[in-house]
Amino acid sequence: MSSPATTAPVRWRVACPGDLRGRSWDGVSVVHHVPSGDTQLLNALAAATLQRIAAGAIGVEALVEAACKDQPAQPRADIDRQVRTLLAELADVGIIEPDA
Amino acid sequence: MIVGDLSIDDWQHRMTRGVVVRIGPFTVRMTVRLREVADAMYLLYRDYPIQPEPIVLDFDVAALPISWWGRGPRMAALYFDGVRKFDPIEREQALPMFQWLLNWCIFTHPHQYLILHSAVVARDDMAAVLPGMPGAGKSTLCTALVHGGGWRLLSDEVALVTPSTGLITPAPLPIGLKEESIPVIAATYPHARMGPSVRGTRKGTVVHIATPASSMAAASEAGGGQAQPRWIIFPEYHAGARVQLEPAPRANAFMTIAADAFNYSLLGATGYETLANVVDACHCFNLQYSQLDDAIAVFDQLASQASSAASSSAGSLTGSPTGSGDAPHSTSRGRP
Amino acid sequence: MNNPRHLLLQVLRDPRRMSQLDAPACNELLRQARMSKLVARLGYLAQDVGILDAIPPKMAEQMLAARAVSDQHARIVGWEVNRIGKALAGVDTPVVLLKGAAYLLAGMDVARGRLVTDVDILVPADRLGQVESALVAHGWESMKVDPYDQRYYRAWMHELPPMQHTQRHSVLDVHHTILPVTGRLSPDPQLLLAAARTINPTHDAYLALDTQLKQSQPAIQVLAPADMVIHAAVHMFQDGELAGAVRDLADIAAMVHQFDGDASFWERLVPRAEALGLQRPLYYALASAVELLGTEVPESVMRTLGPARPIWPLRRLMALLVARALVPQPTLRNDLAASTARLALYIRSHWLRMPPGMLARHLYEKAIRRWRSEPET
Repeated sequence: MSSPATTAPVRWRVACPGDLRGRSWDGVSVVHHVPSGDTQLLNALAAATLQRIAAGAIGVEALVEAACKDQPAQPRADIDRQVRTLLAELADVGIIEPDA
Repeated sequence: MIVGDLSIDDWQHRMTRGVVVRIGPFTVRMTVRLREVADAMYLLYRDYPIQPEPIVLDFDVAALPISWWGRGPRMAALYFDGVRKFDPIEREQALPMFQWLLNWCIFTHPHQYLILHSAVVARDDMAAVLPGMPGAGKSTLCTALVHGGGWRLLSDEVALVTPSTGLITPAPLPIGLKEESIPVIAATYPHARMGPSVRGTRKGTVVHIATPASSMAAASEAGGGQAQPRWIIFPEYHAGARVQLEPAPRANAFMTIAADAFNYSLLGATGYETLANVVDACHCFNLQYSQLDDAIAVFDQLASQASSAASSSAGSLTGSPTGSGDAPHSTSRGRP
Repeated sequence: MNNPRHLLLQVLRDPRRMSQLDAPACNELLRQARMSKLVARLGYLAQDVGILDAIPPKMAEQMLAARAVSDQHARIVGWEVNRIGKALAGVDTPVVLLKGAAYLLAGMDVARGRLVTDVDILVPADRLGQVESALVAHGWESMKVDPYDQRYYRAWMHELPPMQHTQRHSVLDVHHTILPVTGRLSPDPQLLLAAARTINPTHDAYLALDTQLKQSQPAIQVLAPADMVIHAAVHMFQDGELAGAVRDLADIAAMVHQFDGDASFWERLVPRAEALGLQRPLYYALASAVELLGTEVPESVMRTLGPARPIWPLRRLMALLVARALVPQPTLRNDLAASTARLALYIRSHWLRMPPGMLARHLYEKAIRRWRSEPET
């Protein structure tokens, strides 16, 4: 992938891919994870990131890379921090998990 | 037959043995052996239909005096299904507590609906959902719309949304007003029938207002007076503020309403889809106001715009009073 | 059995009766079913015999509304088991689900419409420490902070103090045996663990576990059929909460009905109860199911359990107590006799759990603490 140098890269996937529902209004999304019953409010960056994970297991560097392309005006460091925070939160509630 | 068809003596007598009253889709047997409570309810429920027994009940509730070593006459107890609910209460508090018990029944049982915590009023079959932020003046505004604005009351406390249709079913109970809003409503809408004012409740002084006959008539029609949600309006009373209607972000409206709903989590994916359909079908606004008449004018304008848009061309529903272009069908939708 | 107080029992015995009830009987049935948390179950029973359309629509509607609640419980329990599996992934231990969670994850009929308010698991006593640490590391915490309660649970009871997840607020009971260690009945948990079977997960949320992860996780198991029935019987008569006992009895009847097709179930049941030393609660439960719900139990089973019967007067007393305590009484009519019966059974089941001296101390300390925490009103 984009950063082969990283040691032991964690790839993330959606825990139960068939069970994620989402709608978006004016660029803000509301996502519902059926098994956990969890509902999340996601901004555009977060929704796009989750969409990418739902499309197939993917590492954090690739997610940051793609998000930077979406929002070229934002500093990479900001995006990196946002993506990592999001991953931690989604993993904490069980929507995503490391791909073994 | 409605409650008002009975003489007050007949009503009093029947209440001691139990009367089945229809509240929206619900059949509720009420047994009340507290004379002053039955008297007040004769006024507040005058236009509610009485159901002949035997009938299958949704809720069986009672308010009875407790006779107990001299302390007795001053205390009362409330029952659901023949089982005591809550701690015994001062008899003076029995009327508002009994109204609260009726609300509790509707908040906690009919999971065939998505039960949102919100007032709902309708013009024809177009409903405005007013989510219940405490202190925002939801009940006062709701009373004004119903008694001064030609809107009908679906409920002061709950929006009952049917998942398969997205429609809201009316289940109106007398609106509860508190503290300073009581004299305002009494002065502005003298024709509104008010029950006795009760001091020293958890919410201070409260008064209940009879549901007007016009709202009851629609609820008794075929289809039960159901209405399509068209607007979600977060009211906010600000003393001295000019009336102001601003579009509210829909996704945030979704989260606010979900967090405050009675059974959003319980219904799981059904709750999510049903609420998402409601939000999809609605314009969302924040409404700031100080004068009830101004607020009513805003509601009337929304309704007339929607009616004319619907009659001119059904497919091109655009625009809102603020010109935001916040149209229900322009949203993007999809799986993330 | 034509007493309207027994309406719920009559309907559980013959669900078709629901289509013949008049409105007052429907109201009485719904009232009894609400008290026993069986409204959703009745909906499934009506559906099974094809009369959901033939009963009054108002009654069917309430049954389906109640089903939304049991559906939610099923979803929550499925997810909790999924989370427990993840939390215990590094611990070398079997995890045996008990009661509601087991019925649900094993896809049993008895789980339909059943409410499950917490998850119970059984693990070997020597893994208890590791299991507790792993759970604490994953967000569970002990609910009992009072040192007396901690001591009571750990020293005398058959479980850790209940644990609650700090984010999801779900309650988890971790057991190392199915009865208090100090009780007169002390079934060997090794027997239960050894016979437990790994389930073929049928629950949606459980399926969510990826195959690879599943291999690295502890095997999620349930008790063997005979053990499951015996445990339900023990739970019904030993746990001191007879107020909702109709539900427990209906559970036992539904399980027996489901296992009935398997001839080895009946062959194993009595020897198993003997091996565990639990013939008497099994006898009580089966006799009650036969008597009150018309459950079909082979004559040979009851005969073999015969020696477990209490002597005649006690047997009559039990039958009376069961019949009274099983049917919930409305407090509006405050049936003093029924509440007396329930109290007697509560004391009896605590007596079975603890040596007598200890019982007195427990009740005394409970009373003291209740008195001390009484609000000043």
